[in-house]
Amino acid sequence: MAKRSLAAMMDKYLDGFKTGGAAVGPANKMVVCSAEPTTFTEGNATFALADVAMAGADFTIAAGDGAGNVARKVTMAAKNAVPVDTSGTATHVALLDTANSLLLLVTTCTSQALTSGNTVNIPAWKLEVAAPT
Amino acid sequence: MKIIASTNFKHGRKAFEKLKGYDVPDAFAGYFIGVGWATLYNGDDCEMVALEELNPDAPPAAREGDTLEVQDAAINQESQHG
Repeated sequence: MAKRSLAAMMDKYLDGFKTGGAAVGPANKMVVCSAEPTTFTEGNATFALADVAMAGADFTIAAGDGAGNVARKVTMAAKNAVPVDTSGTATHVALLDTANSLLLLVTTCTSQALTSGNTVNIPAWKLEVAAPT
Repeated sequence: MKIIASTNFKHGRKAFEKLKGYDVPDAFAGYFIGVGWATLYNGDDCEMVALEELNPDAPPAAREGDTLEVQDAAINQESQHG
């Protein structure tokens, strides 16, 4: 038997990254980190290697790629030539809400040595909310 | 292996400071030297870096109510006759 979730409900969550809600979001900064941040300070400073500003237009909400009824996703736009502020090994990418000092989302990336003074390209990536199972 | 940082850099949860000596596992030393962030160091004044500090994953959060796996203990007694 199939299970279903209203797309608009799932989009409410995803829209938090794009437009924000009460004292949470939107995501206005993307940071490349040397380790998995678990707090805003870790994401914004302790493990930060490079960062770039994000705006609402950088987030696209659409039908998800997964099967079932109904997957949804938000895709974060690619950011190229982002200046590397501190040398280090990139392993994670985080989205921050600097207005509310919140660590909103963390994902992993392939381990890559970055050198201060160079730039880094961050490809588009997504967060998918799977269909209920 | 002992290294000295040529520049400020971060790896895992550890921040390395320029011109400071560190003692790190060999594989990491080779990597840091290979990418040009450090050189071999012969001095004694160096900080020992634990492997956990170089792990990019956050340590598991402490949880309440964890249950330990406790093994039974036994004392074997031998009876002697005669």
